[in-house]
Amino acid sequence: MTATEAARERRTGVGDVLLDVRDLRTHFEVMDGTVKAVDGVSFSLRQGGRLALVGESGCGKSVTALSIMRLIEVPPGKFAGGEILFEGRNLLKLNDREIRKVRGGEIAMIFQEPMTSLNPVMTVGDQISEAVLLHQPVNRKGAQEVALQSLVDVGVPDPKRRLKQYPFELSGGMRQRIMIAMALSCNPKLIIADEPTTALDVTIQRQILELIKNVQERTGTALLLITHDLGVVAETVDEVAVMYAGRVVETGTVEEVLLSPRHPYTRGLLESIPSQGKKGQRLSAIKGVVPNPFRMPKGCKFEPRCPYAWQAGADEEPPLFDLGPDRMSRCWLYDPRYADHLAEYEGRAPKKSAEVAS
Amino acid sequence: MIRFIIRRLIGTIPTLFVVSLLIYSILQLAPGGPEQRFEQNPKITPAAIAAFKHRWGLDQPIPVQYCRWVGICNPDGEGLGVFISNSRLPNFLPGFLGGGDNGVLHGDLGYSSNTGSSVASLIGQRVLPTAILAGIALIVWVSLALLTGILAAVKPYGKLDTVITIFNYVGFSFPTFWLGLMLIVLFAANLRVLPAGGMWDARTVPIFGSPEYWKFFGGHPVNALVDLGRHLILPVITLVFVSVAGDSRFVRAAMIDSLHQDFVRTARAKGLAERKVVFRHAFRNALLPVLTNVALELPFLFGGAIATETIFSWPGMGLAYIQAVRTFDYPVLMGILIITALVVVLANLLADILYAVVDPRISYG
Amino acid sequence: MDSGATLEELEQRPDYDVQLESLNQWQLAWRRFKRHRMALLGSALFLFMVVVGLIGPFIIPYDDTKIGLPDAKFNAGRPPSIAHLFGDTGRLHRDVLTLVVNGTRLSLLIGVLASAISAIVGTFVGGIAGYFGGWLDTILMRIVDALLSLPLLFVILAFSQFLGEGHASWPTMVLIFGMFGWLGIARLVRAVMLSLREEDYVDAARAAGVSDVRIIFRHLVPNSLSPIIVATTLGVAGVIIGEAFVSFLGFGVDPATPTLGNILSGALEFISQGNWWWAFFPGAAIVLIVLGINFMGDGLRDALDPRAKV
Repeated sequence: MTATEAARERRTGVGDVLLDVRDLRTHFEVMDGTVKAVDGVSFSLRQGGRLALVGESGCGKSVTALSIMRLIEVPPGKFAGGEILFEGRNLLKLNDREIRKVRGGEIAMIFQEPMTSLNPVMTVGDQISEAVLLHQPVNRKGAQEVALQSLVDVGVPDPKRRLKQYPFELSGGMRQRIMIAMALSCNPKLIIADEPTTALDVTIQRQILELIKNVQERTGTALLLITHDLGVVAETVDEVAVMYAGRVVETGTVEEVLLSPRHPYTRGLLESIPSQGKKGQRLSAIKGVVPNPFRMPKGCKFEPRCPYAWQAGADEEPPLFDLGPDRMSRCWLYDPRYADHLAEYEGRAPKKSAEVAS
Repeated sequence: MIRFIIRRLIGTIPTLFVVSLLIYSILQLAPGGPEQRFEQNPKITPAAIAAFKHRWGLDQPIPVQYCRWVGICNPDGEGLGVFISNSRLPNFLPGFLGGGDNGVLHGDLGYSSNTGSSVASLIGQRVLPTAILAGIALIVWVSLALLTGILAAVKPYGKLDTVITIFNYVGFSFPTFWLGLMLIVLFAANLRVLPAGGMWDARTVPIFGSPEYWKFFGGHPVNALVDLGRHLILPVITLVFVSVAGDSRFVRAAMIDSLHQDFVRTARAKGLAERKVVFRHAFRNALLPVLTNVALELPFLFGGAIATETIFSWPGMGLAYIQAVRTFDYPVLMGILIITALVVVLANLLADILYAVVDPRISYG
Repeated sequence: MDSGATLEELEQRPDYDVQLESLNQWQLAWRRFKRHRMALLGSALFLFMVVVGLIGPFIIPYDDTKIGLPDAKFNAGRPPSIAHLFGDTGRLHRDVLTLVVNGTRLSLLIGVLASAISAIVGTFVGGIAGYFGGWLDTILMRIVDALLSLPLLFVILAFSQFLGEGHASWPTMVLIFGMFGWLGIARLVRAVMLSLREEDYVDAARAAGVSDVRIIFRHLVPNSLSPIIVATTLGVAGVIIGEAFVSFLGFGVDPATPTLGNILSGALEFISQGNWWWAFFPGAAIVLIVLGINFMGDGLRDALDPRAKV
């Protein structure tokens, strides 16, 4: 049994689809026009599953996460299309009251900046129990107990004292633990972690990742990890959706995506990671820059930077080609008409890319 | 906490000292003096003026005058003896420790060069009316500023924000005294629904602050309060309308800033209702700059109070100050200025303490 | 970088960078200012009042000093009519429109000149305190802090009375307001100086042997110009209201000279007789000027902020 099959097995074993994002479009009306921050994002996540949304900064992955939580300010934001199905309910159609029940209660979020994401003038205990009081049938005292338990769950030393402390008394890593404890406190079905380790010291990053993975496995909650770091992806999740310019361009299991990328952009990302296996080789970077949101290329958004580009459907955007169960790529290479180009693409695959994932 | 307050209190002493020195020098810098009001009067001879100056100690060198006014020097001493009190101890010590009994340090603000009555008792009479007017105005003003500022910040550039913004700009551009005049024209002279000025209705109520007044107050509290309230409406509107604008803008800016902080997003992600997000999370953090700003604006409240008291003949410190300026009554001017500076410095201290109470990041250490 | 192009080819290419660079700081600020609707409205309002003040006297048919015939029936003045658009004053029956036009000119003059003095003194004091630091800074800022903890209007009132006894000339008022208006600007300039003092180009200038005075006024002051401009603009409004108040109370400019405050002062006596026009129009003139300046100042603040978007 190959690694891919094993992953698929594990995945299908976990259960039904929990979150299904279909062709999500989140736009922002600003003074100079419309920024289509998210413009065609599709992926799905099963109960207890782990999926990473990967891409460069500005590709729309955080906006996607905030859209799921409906934390986009409307206006200037606008949900221009698509749907977000959570246990079959379209979150975009819920009213304020209903979405507030989902937030924190069924979907919890961990943010990038632990230093600023906690309220500086409230104690840690009050901030955690505030969420507990909203979503669980407990009184104030019970909420403090739940808060204490969730601090124990995330392995905070001296948890009783921490409850009475203010965020400024804690280190960045400790604050991120508090954020995780807060997210866990209401037993959500899905945790969204938006770059949870980016702002932390390298030594702490690993601990926090381990913690997230541990609590995810222990509680069986699903995890949507948002990151730009492919190393983190390999260690933490089972499935990956790669985003570029507001679109999902490739999906698949970790092994599939990292070992045999089916989109030139993903391949470019992998090739630009320095690694042991590539010692002595010249690191390649994706040439050019992310397109200006006001001057998007007409057809494929990656075409101007793509080393394999040819004049395929120049004005037409490629659809997400289905390449197997939950395996998709948004590249003209997978149009049967261009089989010869695909052969060339596969011929140019770097031999050592396997080591990136290991 | 107590130690923090005491340390800050001691810290205000040099500030007050510099303030007193400055007030004194500014008044000395201006040509003329208390004797100037006799200039136009041909019946007063130079000898009489000299006697007047001697009586008030105005023939002494200026540092000595200042020294006496503050209470470091004894008014009767000779040579270095001026620093020594009658009990042969340094004059600046409090009375019960053997110091002197003259000067600001000993609660003696001197005597009005116009009426001869004690400045401290004059200010004592005028403090309550000003405190009533300024206190009520402050409460209304801060509540309105908070309310409009928060409402405007919740939906910036929305309809409500635009209305509040325009209202603020117009209010900000109104001269206090002109607004007062217009209100009098409208409500007192034309509509005749509110009194044009004063603090009590002289036909039915005794002089405010007199024993008879309090007797009347005890007998008919409702009548007395209604009468006071009627006289308060226009002056309070005048003071509030102009002052609320700047603070409302300030609250709005602080709230917008606060609402964009990451922790507000965290609060929303918990599923908190927007009202709680705004008040429990954003507002508590916006409160810090707002508190400081209000404390810093207290001098302007007093400034506005002079204008308002003059127009509405409100018998407070502002009106007393204007009368003192008119009659070149230096002791009264100095007294009112030093008391005002004291109030301002104490208000700043209060803001510091409140700041430390609201913000756990500030320790009292 | 290997661009693969020859020198000739490169010279042919349009140089976008240079075109962007050539829009200097002030042009960018002007562009931002033009987009600020309130600021444009405010400037228009302010300019209108300036024009009224400047050319008004040539258009208005009445002489400032002209006194109408006393009329017992209209002792409190006559309401607006075709002959007197803003009505006339009580007792002497002077034309209110004429008074307002002349008062506007004088009030604007006092406001602008006093603010200019404040800006110069404030920049000087703040520049010296911020650049040299140490005990000089401590003393100067202690004084500024102490003065700012007083209600300055109180001090100005007393000062004007002692200096002019209610019959001051308008230049005296300019001096008094200039003398007390610089505190805020001094504090502002000092703060900017303290942050700029550490910049590399200042070290470079110092290393090149440039004198302190030259560094302050040729290098540092121009860099703190934006906040000074904004504060000075808003200061004009403050002086106009302040002067009006002092004159209104009778401690300012000689009552025979029409400033907006003086006209209001005259109106006070007749206000209880329902004589609204005498007090209304000069006050409305103040509101228009001050509103214009406040809008303009806000626009300037946004336009001159280098962090703002183009």
